[in-house]
Amino acid sequence: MAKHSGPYTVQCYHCRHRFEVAGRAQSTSCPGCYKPVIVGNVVVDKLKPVREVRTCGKVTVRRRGRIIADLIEAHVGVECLGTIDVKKVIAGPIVIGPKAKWKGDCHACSLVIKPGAQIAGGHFVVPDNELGLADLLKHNKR
Amino acid sequence: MTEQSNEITVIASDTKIKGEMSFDRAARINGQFEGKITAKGELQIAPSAKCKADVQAASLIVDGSIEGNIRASQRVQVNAKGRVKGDIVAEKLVAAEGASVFGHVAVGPDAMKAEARPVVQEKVQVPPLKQTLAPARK
Repeated sequence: MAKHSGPYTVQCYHCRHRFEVAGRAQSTSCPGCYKPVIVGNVVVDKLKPVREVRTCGKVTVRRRGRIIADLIEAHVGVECLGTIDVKKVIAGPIVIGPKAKWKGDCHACSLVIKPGAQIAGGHFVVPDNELGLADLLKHNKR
Repeated sequence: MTEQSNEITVIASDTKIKGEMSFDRAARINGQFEGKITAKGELQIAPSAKCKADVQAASLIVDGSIEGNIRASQRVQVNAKGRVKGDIVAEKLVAAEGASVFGHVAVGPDAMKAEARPVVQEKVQVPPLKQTLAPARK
């Protein structure tokens, strides 16, 4: 994803408060709830066993990358070229690559599955505007 | 031979069908269908189609709306305006941006094998219940 040249709007994943951050910011604290918020992109290129990955940016799982977690929340979207083994993914647009392996539920604004992807039974809800991100993504594209 | 392979069954847009259909070759649904579809070839759901059916086909292309479980031995393609409400089991799944999918999805060779495996239900013998009555209070 291209870096933002100027300030842009993000939504806190704790309290859903929207606020502006600088284009180069990687993390900040929410002015609504004062909790720390990651706004940068998360790139996974090896095994990453964690409880949750939450960011206002994008999560990219490279070909050799693997996430094992309970929750992934990525407001700008998820691009999976490796393996995602998660209970639930809530995100903006999701792209599942041709050699990707996916396990878990998927709630996304939009979904692209390339031929050859392997999906091991998860509940898919597409389009899903659970976080109300659709208008935010449109707003930031302008 | 070439004539036969080009043959395609078309359910026209002004047609409403309820019941069970099976195709040996390709078929395209433009109208409304409710029931069960078995197709050995490719099945296309046109943008104008409204399909409430369990589908079993070699490959399926969805441009319209389909409500029901899908099982494809080869490929399911959900195009940008396609809408699927139901479980999908397929060897390959291609979803375009803008496609709508609501249901359980299992895709890949493993998914197909798991689906093909017969479910053997073991009989669980339940021991007879012993009635343990509490002694009546005096």
